[in-house]
Amino acid sequence: MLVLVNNAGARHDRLVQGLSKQDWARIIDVNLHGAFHTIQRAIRPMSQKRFGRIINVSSISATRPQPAQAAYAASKAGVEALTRTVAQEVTRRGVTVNAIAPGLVDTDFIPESLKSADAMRVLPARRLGEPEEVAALASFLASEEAGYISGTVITVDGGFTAGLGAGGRSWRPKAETSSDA
Amino acid sequence: MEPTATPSRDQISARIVSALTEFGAEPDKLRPEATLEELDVDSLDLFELGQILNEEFGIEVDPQDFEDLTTLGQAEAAILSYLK
Repeated sequence: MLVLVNNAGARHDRLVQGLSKQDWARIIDVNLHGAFHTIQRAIRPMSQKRFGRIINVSSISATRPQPAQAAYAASKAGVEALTRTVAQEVTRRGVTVNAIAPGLVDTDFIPESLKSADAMRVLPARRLGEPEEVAALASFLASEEAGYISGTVITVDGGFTAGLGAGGRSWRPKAETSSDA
Repeated sequence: MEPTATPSRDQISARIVSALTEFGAEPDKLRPEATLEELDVDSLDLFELGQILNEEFGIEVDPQDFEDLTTLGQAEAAILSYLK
């Protein structure tokens, strides 16, 4: 095995107050422990070949969580820290380790409410991402050409988290606003 | 893996070779006089080797003992010295 993509993920949206220990543990288990186990198995064969690509799918929630995402966001933040750590350990053997943090992508994984026209207004791209647009980055990170990219998290969110209002109400500029100090 | 009872020197030497191969060193270069540098074995590899020997044979390797070593033979001797 020369390329590992950790894409399995689970979410369970509950406010912390009502989040059961079992649900918390299940999400951490699937998202974080799952990645740990597969990475652990992949390192040896990749090291031996002096080539490997480990790609972990994180989420913009790792750094920009919404309410009710405690378990999901914490697990993805863990995945990003795991990515950086393992990169320190194995990049010298030709094994790169990176994470992709998708934003709102048009899959069954995101709630229908986020697919509304209202929701689209806060997205700089004014549309959801397509799964293929995330896959395209994964396939580049898996390529020979990406050999010097390691230990990093690349966001694919159509500009969503680049602005101040990520997740909030869209901000509309008034015409001809300026301020001079 | 549970540490085996008392590992022989041969068992340990063989495991050192197989571990370094797993790390990506070229098997036919693994001669005692080969330098760690030419084998592309660095301090992190030796740390991992120590971790493997600890898990499998219960040997406690002190990474500091590897600090001034230059050849594979010296590294192996340092590890085997723990067996006394």
